[in-house]
Amino acid sequence: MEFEKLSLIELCDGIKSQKYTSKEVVEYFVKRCEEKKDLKAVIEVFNDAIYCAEEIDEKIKRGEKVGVLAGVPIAIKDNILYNGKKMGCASKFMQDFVAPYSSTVVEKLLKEGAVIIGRTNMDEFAMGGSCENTCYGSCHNAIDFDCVAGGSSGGSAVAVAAGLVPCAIGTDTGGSIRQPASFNGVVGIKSTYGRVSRYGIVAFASSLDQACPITKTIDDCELVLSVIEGRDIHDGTTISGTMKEDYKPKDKRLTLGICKQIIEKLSEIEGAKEGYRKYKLAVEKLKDTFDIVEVDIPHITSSLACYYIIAPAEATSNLARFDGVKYTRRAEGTKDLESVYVQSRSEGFGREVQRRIVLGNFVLSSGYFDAYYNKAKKVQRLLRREFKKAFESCDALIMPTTIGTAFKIGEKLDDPISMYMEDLFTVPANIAGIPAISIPYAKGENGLPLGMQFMADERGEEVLFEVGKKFQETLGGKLL
Amino acid sequence: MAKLEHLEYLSKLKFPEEGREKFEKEFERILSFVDEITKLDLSDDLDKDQPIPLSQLREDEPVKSDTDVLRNAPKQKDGCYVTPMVVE
Repeated sequence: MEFEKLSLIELCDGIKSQKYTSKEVVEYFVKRCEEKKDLKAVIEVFNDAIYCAEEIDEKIKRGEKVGVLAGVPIAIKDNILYNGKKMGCASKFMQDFVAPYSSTVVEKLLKEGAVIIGRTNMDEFAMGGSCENTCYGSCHNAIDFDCVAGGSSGGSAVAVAAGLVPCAIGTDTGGSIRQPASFNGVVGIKSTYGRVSRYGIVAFASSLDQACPITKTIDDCELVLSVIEGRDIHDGTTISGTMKEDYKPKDKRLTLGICKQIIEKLSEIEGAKEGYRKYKLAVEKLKDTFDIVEVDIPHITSSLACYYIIAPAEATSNLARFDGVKYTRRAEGTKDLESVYVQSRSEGFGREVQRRIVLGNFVLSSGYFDAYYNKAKKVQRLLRREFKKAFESCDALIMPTTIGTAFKIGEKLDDPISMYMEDLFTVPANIAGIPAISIPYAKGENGLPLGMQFMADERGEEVLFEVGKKFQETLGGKLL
Repeated sequence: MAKLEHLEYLSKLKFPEEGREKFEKEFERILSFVDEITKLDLSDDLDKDQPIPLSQLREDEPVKSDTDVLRNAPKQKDGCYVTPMVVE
């Protein structure tokens, strides 16, 4: 049986109804991970995965109650803790780190019977948009080996797209789930800030980070997110209630908002011609299904600059703990404590991480704090107001996930600004704390996929799922 | 821009001589990229908004941890991190 062709939900049903065993499924995917090692998507398969699958099979055989994800393999990004397993954040710094406890996300997946099969490649400490800043070597796009996976959760997106797992968990601070999902033709969501606990996930920018699923279908995405969501005593920023509880179905047609400023930007960018054309085509088709209105979010394009101040500022604090004393790696030949810090960090962190630490320290330093950091926080508040206002006239916003399809490996590695521009359309959702989903909908001339992004007001994940499914129905399962 | 040496000091990082100039140039470009923020004229009224409301906070309670926090330390002894001597 070709298990990689089935959705996560189909696999769950098959295992529960004993059409096949979890062991067969997990063994199959372990083998695929081995065969497709060249992609550098899954960087370690956990050696107890098959044993965990057998345990689930036993339970099912005995007729015991099992969870909604019983027996299905799920991979986790290399910045998510799973007790007793290695976790490296794709950093040279962390290669000997063994998780001393499990993240809430992993605990919740295990409680529902999922088999955590392995960990996936990423940009170091989740900083990057291509999955090239990694100590494991660049991850390759699932459709075109010469192209980037996208990032930072590139390994998770490629693992799902290449059929190495039916679902992988990624993290999204500025688009790190949605952009690689778009580049590889899979579904990826970033939830409302606080929907998913960050406990046990290595922090990048704590006020923006969310861990969420990447899957082949919207239904799979919804199921897995419903498992990992929820208030957590270990994370004071988690929100109470569930997506289902927050959902208020409407009996009239849903309204999609097209953001004027995004369209203006899209028409200006040289490399966005094809993306813009496909976008317009999709919107045209959607007119039969949705009401479509134009909305104003005047400062939306300032989100990117705002992000590249707030995120590095938080990262610089979060990464201060990697000092050569507490975690795994200490430089050789140090003479005093200061040199332990400086040498360990200079040798351990890669170039992009160092760049962002310096940027973060700059915007927080005396004389610049008000002009940069405080100003960015103010812009963030303004954007939240502008989004709130926009959602008074529409149920969801529709915009492209990325400027274009995946670019070639190495193409943007020496050009940080061009790499940062990759986040242009995804970052606003993180800054505003609202949920956003990327759904594959088109194919470029190069044969690579493009994702459409929908954003909803906070707590509006179910609106996104509803809109997303209607969107796919309207396109009739074809890529534009 | 503040001197790179000062930022290295704040960041506890040291860049090698080679590539320093390139780093500075890249950094200048990034700064001019985020600079648009500093030019925006925004109302003080915005300061009242709380972007991330903390939900219910719990009381801090001391508990005996069963997590071996030292397990990943590069050097440890008797339940403590070992560092070069810091007191003369």
